[in-house]
Amino acid sequence: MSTPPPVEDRLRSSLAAEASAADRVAAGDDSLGAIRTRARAGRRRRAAGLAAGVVAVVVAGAVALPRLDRGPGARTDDGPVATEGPSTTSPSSPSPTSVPDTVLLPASVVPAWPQPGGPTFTTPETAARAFVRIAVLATDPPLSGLHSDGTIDVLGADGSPVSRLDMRRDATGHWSVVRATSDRVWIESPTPAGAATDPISSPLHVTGRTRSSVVGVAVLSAGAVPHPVGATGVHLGGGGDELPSYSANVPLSGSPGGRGLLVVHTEATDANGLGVPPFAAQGVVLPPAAPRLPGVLLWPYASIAEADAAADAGEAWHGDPGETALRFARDYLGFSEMNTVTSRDVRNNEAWIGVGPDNHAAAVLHLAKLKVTDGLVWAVVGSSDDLLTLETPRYGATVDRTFAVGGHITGVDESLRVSLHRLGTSGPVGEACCLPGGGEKTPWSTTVSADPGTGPGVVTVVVSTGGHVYDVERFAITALRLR
Amino acid sequence: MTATKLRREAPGRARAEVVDDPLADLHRAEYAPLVRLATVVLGDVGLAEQVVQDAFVRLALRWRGLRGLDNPAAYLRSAVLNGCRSVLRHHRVRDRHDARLAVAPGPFPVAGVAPEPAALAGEHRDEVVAALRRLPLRQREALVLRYYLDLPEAEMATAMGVSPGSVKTHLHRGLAALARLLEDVR
Repeated sequence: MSTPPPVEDRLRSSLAAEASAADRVAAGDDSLGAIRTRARAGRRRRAAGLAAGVVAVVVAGAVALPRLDRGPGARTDDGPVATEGPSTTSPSSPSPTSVPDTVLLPASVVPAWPQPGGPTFTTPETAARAFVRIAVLATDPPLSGLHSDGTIDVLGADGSPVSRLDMRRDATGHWSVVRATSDRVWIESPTPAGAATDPISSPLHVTGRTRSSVVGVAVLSAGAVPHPVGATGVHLGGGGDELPSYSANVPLSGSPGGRGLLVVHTEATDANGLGVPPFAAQGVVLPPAAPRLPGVLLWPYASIAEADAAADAGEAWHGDPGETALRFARDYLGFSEMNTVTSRDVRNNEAWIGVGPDNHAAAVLHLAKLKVTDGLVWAVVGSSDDLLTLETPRYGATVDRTFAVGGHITGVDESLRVSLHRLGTSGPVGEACCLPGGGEKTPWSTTVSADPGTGPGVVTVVVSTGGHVYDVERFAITALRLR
Repeated sequence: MTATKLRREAPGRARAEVVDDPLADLHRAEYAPLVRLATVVLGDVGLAEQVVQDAFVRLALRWRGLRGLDNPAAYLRSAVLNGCRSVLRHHRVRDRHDARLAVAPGPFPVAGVAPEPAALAGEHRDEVVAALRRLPLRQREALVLRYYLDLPEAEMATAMGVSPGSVKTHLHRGLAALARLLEDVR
């Protein structure tokens, strides 16, 4: 058997090969020109910023004086509204006479990309190239020039158009893509008009027609560097030219909100699967970004959507973190002696609530506040531990059905019980007992198994000890996911 | 070599003459190598070009231009690494594209269309590059600067904006982590 080369040698050769992907990039005049253009624009912005104070004073005076001269009701005439881009000789501004009026972006049309605040493009070609790279990951797509109707063709490997981009220029001279169409794949639903105004929901139902047997559907955020919010593939039985319908449900997750892109594409048309695949794309409004939670929701709801849909979410105790913590310990974990909130620390959307039997603090539970339709709901996400800790597996880890669990304990003559709880299941779904422990921050560990039939998903892991005065005198919890 | 540039003399008249254009010289010498460097770090030629252009623009926007820079190439290298770091930290575009590729057909490779069998060497290369991309950013940068650019530690420290001691630490840890990851793949 041959000895594999040292890792340094493998790294050298791999890096050299990886870098060769950029071999076609040369230090051409176009890249230098782009750099100079952007630098000039930057200098102008900087100069404009420095001059802004002076200009503001001058403009204020120039505007205020004539208005003081006018009588009440005098008509204000601010001159004609500019309908073209900047008419300076700036190299970064397209010449107003170089493009027809048909490419001007009407105020009523929201471009698919880029979104406001995103990258800006001073030529239609650079905007089109960047858009194709984002939509179908084609790094250097062959493009036609700008047609008089404001479109640019994306060309396939054989040079024929596979998709068409509707390009428009706004009043500031920047170019954007309104939508992409193709004669090999169409989007029928959601309609461009509806999707441009109402947020889409998960799963997004997409339908259309295609000349292909395979369709990929992706929903992307439309930020400076878009990322996928959802994607799926559809295999159709037919193909050819009979225009079969396709239908796909795309689950969405991690939506940042704001504007996004819906892209539907087929396979590349040439025999080797090379070239840019035909695609259609349009803008969508993404679902609002989910609020950032401080941890895994353990009880009483597993998600915000579940809390929103729950019939009992409006009950008063959901709005009280203390009552929620007590019910969690008593009703969910089965620690029936828990009857007192021993401490309360509520900060913004989080709370740390001490609970115990009588006034004996058994645990400090960590809760998160959720906004739902019926108001506010508190949910347990973990515990803040000191004398009894549960440290491994780490919070939120994914584990097999049988796993090692451990932590530290400070106490005397303790007997540790580990139990697993699953939302919607009455009683523990796994248990390990009774592990002797004690001392000063002494490590403890054992193995626990979820009952057969316990499916994948979140479980609450609880370690508890007691028996001196109360059945449960100390407990700690963590959140894990079963495979 | 000095770049030739048109210098405008009077309205409507221009003549070609040899003028000092250090930006063009620097661009000619460093643009392509920097794009390759950024490609190794980012895994995307298009993004790499954007990052390198940004670095050149920042250099061109310096109040004093290239004057006062002992080593403009080192400045650019550092700016490119900063740009790569920013892209990776804020967007993690590669990871997300990878996730997208995992669920969507298409080139996006189209599901059902078998890819060409990859050459063994290519597979090994992909393993190494994939393992490299799983390393923390600083370790990744250190390995690329050492094993792709063969930079000495002092220049690596300048490019990364850290002390030479830190460079050694990042290199050592990065190499060890890479070896572990590659071992796991086996």
